[in-house]
Amino acid sequence: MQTKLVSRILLVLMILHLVGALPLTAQDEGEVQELGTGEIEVNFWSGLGGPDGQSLTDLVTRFVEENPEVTINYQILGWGTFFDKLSAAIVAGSGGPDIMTLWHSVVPQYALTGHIMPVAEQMFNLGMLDKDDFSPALLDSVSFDGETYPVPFDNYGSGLYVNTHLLERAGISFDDPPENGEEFIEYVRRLTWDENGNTPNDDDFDAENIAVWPLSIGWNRVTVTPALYQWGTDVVTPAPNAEVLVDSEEAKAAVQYIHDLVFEHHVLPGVNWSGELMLNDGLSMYLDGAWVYNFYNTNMEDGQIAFWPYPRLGPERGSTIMWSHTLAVTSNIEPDVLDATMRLIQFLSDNSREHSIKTGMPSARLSLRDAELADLIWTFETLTTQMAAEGVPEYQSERFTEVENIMAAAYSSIFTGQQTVEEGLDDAAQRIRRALR
Amino acid sequence: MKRQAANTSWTLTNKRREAIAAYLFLAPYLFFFLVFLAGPVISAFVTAFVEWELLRGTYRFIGLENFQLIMEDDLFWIALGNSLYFAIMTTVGNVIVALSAALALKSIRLGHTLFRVVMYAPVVLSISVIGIIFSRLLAPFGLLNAGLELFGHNGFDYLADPSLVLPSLSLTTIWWGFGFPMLIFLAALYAVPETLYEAARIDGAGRRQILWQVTLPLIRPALLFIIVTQFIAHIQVFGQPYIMTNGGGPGYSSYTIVLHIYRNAFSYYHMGYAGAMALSLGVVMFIFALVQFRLLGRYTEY
Repeated sequence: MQTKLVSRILLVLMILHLVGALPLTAQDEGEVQELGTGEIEVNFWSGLGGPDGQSLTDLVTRFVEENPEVTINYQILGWGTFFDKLSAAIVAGSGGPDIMTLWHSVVPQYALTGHIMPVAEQMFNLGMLDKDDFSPALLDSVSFDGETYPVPFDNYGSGLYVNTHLLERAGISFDDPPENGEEFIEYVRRLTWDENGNTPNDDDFDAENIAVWPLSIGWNRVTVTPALYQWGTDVVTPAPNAEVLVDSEEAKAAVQYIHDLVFEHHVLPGVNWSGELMLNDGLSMYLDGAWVYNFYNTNMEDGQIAFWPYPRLGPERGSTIMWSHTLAVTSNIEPDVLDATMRLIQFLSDNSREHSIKTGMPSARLSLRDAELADLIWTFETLTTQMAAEGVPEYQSERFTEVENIMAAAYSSIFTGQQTVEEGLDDAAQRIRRALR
Repeated sequence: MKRQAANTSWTLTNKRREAIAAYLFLAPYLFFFLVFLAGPVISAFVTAFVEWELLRGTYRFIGLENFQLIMEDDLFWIALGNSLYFAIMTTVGNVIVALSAALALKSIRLGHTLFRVVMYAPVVLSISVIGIIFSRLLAPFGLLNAGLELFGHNGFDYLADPSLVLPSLSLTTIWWGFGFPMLIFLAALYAVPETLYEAARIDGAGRRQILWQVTLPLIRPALLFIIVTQFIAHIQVFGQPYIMTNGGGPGYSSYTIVLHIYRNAFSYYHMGYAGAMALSLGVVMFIFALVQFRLLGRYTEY
């Protein structure tokens, strides 16, 4: 009898094991693709995955078709692996990339230590690219000692993806986005419903059983940094000799606003969710970057999704963050490889409009942001208009990765209630000061 | 006499030849041991006493300064605390689950081999696969909460709740890894002579008494081995928080010491500081292993 019982228990365990041990599809991240058969070999590492990565791969493939003397050893890596591997390769002096994609925010880490060259400056001087065709603020952010280092490839920001079905249910017109922080809170309250269909404005609203969340955020870095700008501050002042600003009163007020959305108004989950809930009308608004465009464009019906600018939350001014994926070149590159690499950069830059259409990420070239794109990409006009008027490049630091990890943990602690705003930001400031010493 | 001397000389030469052959057989292992284990250990030891900033290219001897920085680094202590908590919880859980499974397996005959293979199966999966599977199971809208919802419970945010995250990672690890200690326990259980169980039964001992008075004392060497090796393995936990909690979140709730060392070495490029932390972790592990040997080894019957 006991043996039978044990056998049954083991059978259940076996089934659980088999379910859990189902094999997953092997991932091909990190695999080197040898594109072309030319004699000049260029090693290209890219951190762009998903549709962005596919679009870039298509462009690189076209480049080698048009330039048969060049072979591109092309490798796509997840951003985490990318930076870990890059540092080791750069210092080892071999086995690394000749050209790579870099966020503009991390450029000082490599430019100020001499590991990447001012290739953009060289290309401007050779007439391969027109300096005036780029946003001056963006070029400033990748220039040191008067020289521009990498070439900005795209230029993007963040905003609010809104579910138009739910806007309609709340009686809010898409043509009437929130004007300030107070109105934003009013909107999110109207866009929240519990399982009985009540909103936080009703007396019997059940905050424990929310059926439709009004707002979710994918990445605190995307959400909180623009709020810091709108309260007139930032994480740190520009490198070098950066000063820490996150424990300022302005920074605390900005973070307190987001904190209150979680704990006082109960309209924002304290943890980062993906925006998938919006597909089945379980989420009204998703605050995230331009890169989410493709996901919604592919998965939502026409007219079910629209895009508002990053809301004006702060008391002083409306600002939004902007980033760029740049194309950087290592300092120890061979002359013939450099020539092919610069031609590749020129090709990619010249064709970045095509990349915009496929991915929704605006080109860094101002001349390639024509009006026709607004008809093709539903985020385009809002995004580029706000970036042009209010865009502030994300803070930069020689210790960007370390500072960013500290801030990510601080936001996470604050928005999950482990620490108060004051405690979280004071700790973060202390850790950043230590890192910058 | 001369003939005897010649024989002795021949015997010594033969011994030498055997010794040379033995060293040649050992050479490949020694080569890899020196290059991939002893070398890095010595290098890490030296690194602990230098300031080595990878990107800036600075490399200078600074004595004990890195250790002084460790004392001031609150994240080191948070991470060490999390790692110890995780290691103790997972080691205890693994011992209980693995021993229970081994006892159950020993008591059945039908399907014994099949069950043994199936229970060992998760061990062969990589941490990436385990991490992805359990991230989905434990997600707010994941399978586990969907199951709880059937019973009218809203479920938990296992990986985002600071108080649940380390126990969740620990449970994941136990499911993943209990197959190996289970096999060790099984081998130890089969080594216990049946006559001792028969004698105990004749003396009127019940199942519980047999377990506590006969089985456990006699498998104590295996128990010691499992506790020490599991503790050493789990205090170095890395993959689970790296994959499942975005590198130690929420906040620093699942931030572990090896993550801290890894980030300092390969994300922040503070190689000297990372070396000093690795050395400190080695010392902590040595002290804990010593304590475990003292506590458990004292009563072990070999």
